[in-house]
Amino acid sequence: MIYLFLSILLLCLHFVFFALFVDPGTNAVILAANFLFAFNGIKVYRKESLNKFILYLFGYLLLFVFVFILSKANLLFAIFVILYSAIFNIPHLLPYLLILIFSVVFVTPYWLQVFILFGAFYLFANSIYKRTYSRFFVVLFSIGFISIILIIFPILYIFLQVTPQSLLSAFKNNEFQQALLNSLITSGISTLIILIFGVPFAYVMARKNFTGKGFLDNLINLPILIPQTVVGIALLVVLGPKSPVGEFMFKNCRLAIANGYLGIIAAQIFVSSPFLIRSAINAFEGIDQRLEDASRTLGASELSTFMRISLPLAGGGIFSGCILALARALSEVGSLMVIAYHPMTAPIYIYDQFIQYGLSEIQPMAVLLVISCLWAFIGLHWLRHQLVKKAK
Amino acid sequence: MFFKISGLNKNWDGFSLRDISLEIEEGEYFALLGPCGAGKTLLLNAIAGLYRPDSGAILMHGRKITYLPAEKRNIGYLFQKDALFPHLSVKENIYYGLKYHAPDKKYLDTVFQLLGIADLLGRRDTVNLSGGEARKVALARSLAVHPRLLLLDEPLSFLDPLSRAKVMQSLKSLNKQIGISIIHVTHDVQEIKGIAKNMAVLFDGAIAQAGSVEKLLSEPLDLLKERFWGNDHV
Repeated sequence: MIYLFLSILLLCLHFVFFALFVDPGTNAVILAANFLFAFNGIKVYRKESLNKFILYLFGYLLLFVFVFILSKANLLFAIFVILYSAIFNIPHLLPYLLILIFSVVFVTPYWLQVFILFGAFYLFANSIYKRTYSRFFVVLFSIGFISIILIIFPILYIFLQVTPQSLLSAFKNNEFQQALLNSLITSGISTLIILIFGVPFAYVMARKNFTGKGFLDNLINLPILIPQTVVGIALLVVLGPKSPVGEFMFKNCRLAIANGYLGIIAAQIFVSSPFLIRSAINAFEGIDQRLEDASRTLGASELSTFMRISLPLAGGGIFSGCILALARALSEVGSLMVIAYHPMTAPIYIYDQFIQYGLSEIQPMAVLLVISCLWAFIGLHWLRHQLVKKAK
Repeated sequence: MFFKISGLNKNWDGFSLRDISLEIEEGEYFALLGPCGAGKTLLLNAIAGLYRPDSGAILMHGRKITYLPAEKRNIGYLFQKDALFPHLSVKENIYYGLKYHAPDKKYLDTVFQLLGIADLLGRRDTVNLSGGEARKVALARSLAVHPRLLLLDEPLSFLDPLSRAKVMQSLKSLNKQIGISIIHVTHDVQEIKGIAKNMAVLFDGAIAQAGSVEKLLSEPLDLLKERFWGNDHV
């Protein structure tokens, strides 16, 4: 009896509020949504408290004002009402619906990106609060998240712009494959070279005091400070075809440094060495000196101690440094444009294609490069995790 | 004389060891007493060869070892907080030095038996050892290479009373049964009462008093009585 009465009431209300303003198709959807809302409302009223029922009605009112009246999105209104009715009984999903509604209503062109970002933000912040019950840390996190948004948003946006088909066709591009291969090989070799020469140096810097140590310590950071184009120019002056080194290499080995793999590797070593060396210094400094002393008193020479104690214990930190250096080498563009535009590495190739064909052509490749780099680093981190676990 | 330090000096920024002279006989249990910051650990490091003194000499069996690198001195060292290698198992820790010294099975068994750690050898990592267990493993590690002299840096610190008594018992029997000479460094006079025969008191980088334990306990310098003996020795 009550259902019949309610249905008639709903129909009357429907005609007053909706029927006059919208076309018949949408009209039917809204009617269906309203019925779902009403019957779910009865359930709420019977099983839950009155307060919750009022809250339920209030939510509907908000939707009506914001979506239906203010943004005049009639069909969207119906969809949200259906979602709202369905989700109301699952409290921890409600905030996500709220975020979805806000992002659709207020930032329509970027609604998906905004929804993902703020949804993720709510997920993190909520988890922080639930575990610490500290509002202070939630506020700190919120402030910090603004900087994270600046990092994630562009990448998220470009990811959501490309289709799988365009990605696949970009990947089948031979030139791009070659460029990606060039990138991976050269940055791998660069990292290996820094590893071989940087780690012994880092050990000295971490363990011993000597005249000029402070100067050297600052010198390590120099490549981070110098603009990349200047790095390229400096390397070109030293290693270019007309420099003594370049001439010697060309005459005796038939190898060109500039515009060759050697030039790429030289530039990558220059820009990425600080990351590995700094990580290695920190890793060595983190080892208790007494462990090395203990090894010495047990009869191990300095070399043995380094190989059996220091190196294994600093291994994790050094590996992290390798990942950073590899990342830096992979992403280098500025100095390569000066000293070795050819053979092209992936970032240079993408820049080249952008200059030639424009933005839309290059998007899938950019995404592909990000994906391949991400995979490489996820893989390396996984490997590191396994190594650390094994060491324990 | 088995072991002798004469006129050792070493200067750091703000702290110095001044004119340290000590004599220890073979198989002796020697105590080095001093308040925190007196330079006890630094003196042990010099004996172990972890740095070079500015002047003075360290002699062992009449041979000068002042400038010998640590790995060639064969002096065992129990570090404060044990300094066990965290990436190695208990057994790997104990056998670490046997790559450089010929292992002596019978001697090792004696050490394990005296320390009572035979059941710990199968443990995979050192992190889960209790304080007393870790201390004994560290002791076994430094003893495994058959050192001529054993340096103990606060060997009873950070232990609960029961472990303290056990470790102390082990030290006593090690000294007696293996006959190893020991330098026991501590700031607590109670630790070495009844075990050490001779001792030296290090105060602010210099030796303030040296002699037999009984003599020093019965007539301590006023300076030391006030500053760190307390009154409990009476």
